[in-house]
Amino acid sequence: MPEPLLNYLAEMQIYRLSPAWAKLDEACHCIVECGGDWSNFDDDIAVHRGAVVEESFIYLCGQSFDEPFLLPQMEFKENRFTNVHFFRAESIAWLLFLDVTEQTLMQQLQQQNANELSLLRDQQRRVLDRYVGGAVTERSIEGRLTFDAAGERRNISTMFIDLRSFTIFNQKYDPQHVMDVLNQYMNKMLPPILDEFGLVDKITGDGAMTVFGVLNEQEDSALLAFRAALRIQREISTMNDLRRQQGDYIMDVGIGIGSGEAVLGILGAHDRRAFTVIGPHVNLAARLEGEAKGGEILADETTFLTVQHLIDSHECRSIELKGIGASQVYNLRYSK
Amino acid sequence: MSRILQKKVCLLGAFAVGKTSLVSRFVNGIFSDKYLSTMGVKIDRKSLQLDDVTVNMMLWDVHGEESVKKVPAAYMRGSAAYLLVIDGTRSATVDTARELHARMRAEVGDVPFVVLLNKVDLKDEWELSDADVATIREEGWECLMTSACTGENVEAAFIRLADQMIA
Repeated sequence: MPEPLLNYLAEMQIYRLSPAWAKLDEACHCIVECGGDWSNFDDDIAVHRGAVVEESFIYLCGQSFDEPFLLPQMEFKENRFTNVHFFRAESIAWLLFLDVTEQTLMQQLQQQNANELSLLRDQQRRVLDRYVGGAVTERSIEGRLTFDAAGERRNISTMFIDLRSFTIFNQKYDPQHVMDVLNQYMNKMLPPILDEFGLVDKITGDGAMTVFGVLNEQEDSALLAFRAALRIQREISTMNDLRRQQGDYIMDVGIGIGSGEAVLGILGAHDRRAFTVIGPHVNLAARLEGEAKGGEILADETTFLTVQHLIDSHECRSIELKGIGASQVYNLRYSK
Repeated sequence: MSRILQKKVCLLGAFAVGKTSLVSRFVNGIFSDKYLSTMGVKIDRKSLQLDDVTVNMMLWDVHGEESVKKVPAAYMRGSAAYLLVIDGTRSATVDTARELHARMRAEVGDVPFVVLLNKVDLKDEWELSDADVATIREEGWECLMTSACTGENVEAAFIRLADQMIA
């Protein structure tokens, strides 16, 4: 190859890496010979003939020289990156330092972007998780939670839950205390819903509207809703026992469940949209919750027929519900 | 008689758990909340005086472990001790710590290590529950809740590690 080309290639491939080298003795204890500009790599480095390897390269303490090694992208000096090679050639041990700052800084930019994107996704997942539960988050991230904006008919169950005596509690106590206690109750009420793949559609201060059968279509939505309701009542009962012993204010929960066909869709326009459920049983569930006393689970006939094998007993009564008229209402009795 | 020891200490963990911030807090006493991804290994030094022993720590702040960018075994070899860093706000970083711990054991054997449950200043945002922390401790891992931001337990973690190295 003509010399100018060789020089060009050498410049491109070798000298841009600013190589610095040290020939070591057989035991890799002392430097026998050295060359290159070592100050490129570390300001404090003292590499000279006869120097002890361990003292010249103190950051290599503990390093074994029995086998060849490559330590890529070592940052001895801020923003200066070095590939450290150790190898034997014709039984002579060599340490070779190469400056890889340029390539590393380019990679760093890509790495930074990728990591930041990953952190952002993680953060979004955590926020979603906290507010709507893991099942929704997972499906949202995977793009599997979609609704036809025009509306989609499905058989679902809607459950309304509400804390009884909250208004009195709210009036009697400091708002910060009210908020803290409300959170304690919510922490007992929301996990059972999320565990049964319920969607928390709205939190209304002292209650919530939840929908079952959207995230899990394999099981009957009424079963999912009832299982959640049962767990809520049991957990609230246990918490209330403890609060009672401590002399704290007690609140019970009233629950109403309605099941049937509903239209799921997105209401709103442009950047302000909300998931919504419309159907006769939705209003019915809200009315049932309004009728339920603390500790009761009231259900419509459709829900009752699905879950009757799970309850201890029931009481059926006909009630005049506002805006609906006379309805058969089932008080689902359960063991505490 | 006083002794001087030179020891290589690795900081290992998933990316963005706060390894570089912990070193920066320990070595320079400063903290920046700006995240800058570490490439390769950032080398720092710090000496600790423990009674009559001076421990010169060569701190190898190793880049974060990722599925597509594993920590090379060459970085691990020769370590006298290591810190496993977990980000309390990201529970997935526990699995990464476990994997790194297994690989360290394979490379350097049974050397001292301490687990840092970092970002304790963001406790409200933690994904790790008290039960998760208890499970980690039940594995026999010595854990310290740290914050590079406030400095909580940072020096204590390095001193603990140095203690174990000279024991």
